[in-house]
Amino acid sequence: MTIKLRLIMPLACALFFLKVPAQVPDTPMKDIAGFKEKLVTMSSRVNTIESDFVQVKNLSVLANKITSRGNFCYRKENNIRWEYLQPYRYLIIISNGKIFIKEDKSQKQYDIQSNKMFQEMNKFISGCIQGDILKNDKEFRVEYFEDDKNYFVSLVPHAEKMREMLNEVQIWFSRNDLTVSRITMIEAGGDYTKIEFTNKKLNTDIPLEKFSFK
Amino acid sequence: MPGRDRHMSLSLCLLWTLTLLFANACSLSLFPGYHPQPDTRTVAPVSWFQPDSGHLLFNTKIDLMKKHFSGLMVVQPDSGSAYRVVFLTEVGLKIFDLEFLPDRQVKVHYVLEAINRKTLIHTLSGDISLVLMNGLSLTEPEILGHKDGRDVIFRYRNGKERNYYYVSESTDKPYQARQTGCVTNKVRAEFYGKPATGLDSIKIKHDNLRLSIELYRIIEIEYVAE
Repeated sequence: MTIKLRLIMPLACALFFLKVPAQVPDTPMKDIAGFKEKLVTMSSRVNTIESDFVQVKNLSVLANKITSRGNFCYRKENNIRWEYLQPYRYLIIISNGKIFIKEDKSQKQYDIQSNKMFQEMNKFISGCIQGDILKNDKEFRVEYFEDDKNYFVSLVPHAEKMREMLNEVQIWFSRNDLTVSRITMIEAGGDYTKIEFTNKKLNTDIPLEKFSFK
Repeated sequence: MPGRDRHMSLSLCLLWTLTLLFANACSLSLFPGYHPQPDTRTVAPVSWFQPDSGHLLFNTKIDLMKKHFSGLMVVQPDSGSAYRVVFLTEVGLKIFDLEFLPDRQVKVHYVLEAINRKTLIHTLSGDISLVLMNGLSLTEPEILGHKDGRDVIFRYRNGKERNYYYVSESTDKPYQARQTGCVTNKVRAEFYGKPATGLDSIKIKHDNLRLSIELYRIIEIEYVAE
């Protein structure tokens, strides 16, 4: 018994203090096809999404995490508004094949097609909302898990170059309404960005002006 | 032959004179009105980034030629004299992660491939190093004073470069830093802040390159523990 405790205690302590992004569900999803089908149905029924978000950036070199808050809006097809409100202000609008970025004093507009990074960003965000990202098994190894509250999908890029930047993307889908409740982007060194969505409202009237570049 | 020797000696003499004049001009002509002064202050300037002070977060704007970049700069001083500086986009994508060691060496932990250019990283790390004031304890500063005022400049020699820190009488933290090569000003940094509340912003501008960096401190609202 004493020997067992001696072996187990350090391991238990190590696990307790080990910093991992968060507990992830490890039960493999039983009905992947059913989940995908539900996601497609949800996507077809949802015209708008409005949500608050909290973004937590964890850098291993920092004792404390960097937290920012903001608001997210989506309107079919491909109208996205991503706005940071605290502790800094920053706005990104993706609409009609263009991307608009507004900082404190300056604002800029780009064609999504003009920049590969913007194309990838647009594909990634709308892919997460519409579930298209799960079909992208050419670029990612996709694994499915679940627990009693969430469906959980892990995406690991195939390309080594991409993995140098982003090792894994984890997406949590709420079991209630199949909307994305959390996204965690884990970098090669273990640093990560976690975005948690709260106060989600589906199919509210979001005027198109919210996505105009003013 | 003797005439030729004399001619060579004269040339050498002229060369030495010019070199001496040139070397002297290097140090002071860039700062008209300033002159070496007896050591009236024994305390060297202190960095705005204090060890073990927790991280500082800055809204950062970089203008390089006609390109504009923005993001978040995180400065984490460690318990010794090293600093870790990470530049991120607002959405959390890491652009670079550099460690500034006490011996003035810079260790590159990560650079996004799109900007991984040796000269660019060298220039950026030189600018950051100037404002962090890391490695200054390795050399004794020379002290320059101005005939019209009480502000003092501390000059640190580092190879061919000179770092100058302007300090007013009321504080030990610099309000301006400059780096010069042998004959020209290279870069200047202006610090804005108060000793009581700390650093507010930094503006860095190059003299010979269309590069400017502005850092505005972000006061974080909370720390999240997971």
